[in-house]
Amino acid sequence: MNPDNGNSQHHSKKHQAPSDDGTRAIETALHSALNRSTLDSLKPIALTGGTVYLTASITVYFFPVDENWIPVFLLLMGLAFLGLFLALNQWEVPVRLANLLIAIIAAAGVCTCTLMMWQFPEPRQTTNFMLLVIAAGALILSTQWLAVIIATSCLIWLSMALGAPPSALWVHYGFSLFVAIILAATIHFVRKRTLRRLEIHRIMDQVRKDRLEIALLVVRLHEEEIRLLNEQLEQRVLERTAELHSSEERNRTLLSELNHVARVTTMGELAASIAHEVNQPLCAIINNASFCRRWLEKPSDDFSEMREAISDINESGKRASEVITRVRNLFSKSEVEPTEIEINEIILQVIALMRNEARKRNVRLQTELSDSLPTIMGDKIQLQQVILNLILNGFDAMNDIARSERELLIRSVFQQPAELLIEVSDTGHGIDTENLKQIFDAFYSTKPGGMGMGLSICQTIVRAHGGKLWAANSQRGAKFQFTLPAVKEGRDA
Amino acid sequence: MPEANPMVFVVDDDNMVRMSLQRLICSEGFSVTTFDSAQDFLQHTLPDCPACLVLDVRLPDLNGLDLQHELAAAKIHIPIVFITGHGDIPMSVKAMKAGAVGFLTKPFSEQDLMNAINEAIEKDRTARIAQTELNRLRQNYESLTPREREVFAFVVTGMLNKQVAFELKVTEKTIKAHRALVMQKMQANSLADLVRIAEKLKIQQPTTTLNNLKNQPH
Repeated sequence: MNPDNGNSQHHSKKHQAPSDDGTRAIETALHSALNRSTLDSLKPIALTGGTVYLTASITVYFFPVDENWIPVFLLLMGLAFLGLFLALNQWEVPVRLANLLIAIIAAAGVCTCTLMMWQFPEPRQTTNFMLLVIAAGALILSTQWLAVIIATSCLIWLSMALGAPPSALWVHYGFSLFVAIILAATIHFVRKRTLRRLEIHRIMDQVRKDRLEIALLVVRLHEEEIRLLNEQLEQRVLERTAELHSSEERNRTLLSELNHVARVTTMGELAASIAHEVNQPLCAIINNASFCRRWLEKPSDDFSEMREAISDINESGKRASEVITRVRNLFSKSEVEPTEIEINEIILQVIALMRNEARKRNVRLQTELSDSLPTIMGDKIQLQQVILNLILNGFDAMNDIARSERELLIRSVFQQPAELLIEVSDTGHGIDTENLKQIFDAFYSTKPGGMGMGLSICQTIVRAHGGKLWAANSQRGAKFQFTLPAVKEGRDA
Repeated sequence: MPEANPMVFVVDDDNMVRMSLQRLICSEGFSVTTFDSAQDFLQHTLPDCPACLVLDVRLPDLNGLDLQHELAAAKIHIPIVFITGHGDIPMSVKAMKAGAVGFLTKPFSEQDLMNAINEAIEKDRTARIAQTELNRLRQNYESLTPREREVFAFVVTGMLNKQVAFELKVTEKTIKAHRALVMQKMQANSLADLVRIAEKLKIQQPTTTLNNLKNQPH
């Protein structure tokens, strides 16, 4: 017994176990089904053919039949190596060519095995038979019928060349082919079943993939819509922001405007800014006039500068007068835009503006606003001015009252038949009876530094709205009340 | 003393005011250059002649008071007359403290403006003369040798030649020679003159052995 033989047998068994081959074949089929790399699918076949042939040729090499056979075996061996090499190195060899190469190797293997079976009697018959079966199986599995024909032709040619009785070869060859076909059929069956299962998996995967794709498609279809919606949303956000900004801006201008009016009573910054605006042209006028006087004292022939100075005086005078007109307009606020207003809303807006001031002055601001008041028609800003002015007056009236007692209450109530009453009451000293009538007169003020415009303006505004404004003393201080005609009946009123 | 026509710079953003100021100040015989912003003025190179700046407090880019600070930081010592549409006391105090010559509220009288401008120009002129004088003295001082400077520093403390000789460890005769050279180079006619020059140049009092002895605790 040759140890080499046993070794190789063991080797071949290890690698060529039919079940192993079967799974590989399945893998191969699966791979090709899934359109994977062609060479990947060739690898197991090439390995099968190559290893079979390697084992066979080595066996034959060590127990030569005839010296003349050695080159043939070497050539075949080379072919086997080429197949292995091709498969292992993942060359981009066309699948048909690679299959053919492997089939040729397998065919050569089949031929050799048959020959060896014929050449060597027992006890190597079993080994050779197994090798033959495996080689034939590989040949069949490669599905290259051309290779089967080649192998058969080779066999015939060899048997004739060696002078062997063809019948003996045919028996061996036919038997091994028969076994190989049964084997192949079994493998085929197993493969098919596995394939079907795998196919189901694949289909399921595909379905899943498709479903995902459909979902994606839907998303993509909706994407446009979503994008549009998003854009709209963004646009709306921008608009709202701009609106907010502008309303903030409006609020700020409103506040400054309101403050302007409020400050009329204390002649604060308004006077200063008016002064600046007026002083600027006045300064130019006086300078130019001085220049003219100087020129007259020492007249020269050049009148141009003089002329320019005089025209500048004119222009500056006009500018000063424009400033005055602007200031007057600020007070009169002639343009009224009546809109439907909820008075409580206005009161709350003003309170929001004044909260800080109240905190600074340690005044508790309280409200008693009755719900579901009817709306009124009027100018929002003007009414805000009125309320703000009354609140500021209230604050001022409580300047020399103990901090704990400073309290300002704003009430709004509905009065029959159809008017709203708004009341601003403070806890100050109240108003002297003799002043009660005069406080609404323009330029009448009880405050040091007051201009006497605030209440006068308030009254003008309230009257313009068809209401009345009056003052009275309450138990704890003064209260200012004004009415505004309602346009729409309140829900509960 | 022949000198260039004094320059008055006017910085005011109000076109009318600027023009009227230019006319008026020109008629007083000054050269006038006007600017409508502080930046424009800062980019202008000042001429080498007595000058002053009539500056509006409220400017579009840089506040007048800020400009005053910037000029001071840049070591441009031009006297400033502030004019403002409405000035308050804190503002004027701030301006005057920072070295303004005047603080006029618009509209101001021609006389007030002219007084302020003349005062400012005069101030600048004096400052310029003082500066020229100081430069001359510095040049003279530069021409002294290190030894002469030492002698100069000792002499102006009122020390006798003998004492200086002791301090510098040389003979009295050498000191005498040095002293004569110092007087000549510094163009001083008397010791009193020399002392005044030393004062102007802010020459530091040297440490003397005598002083050291005196200061030593008993």
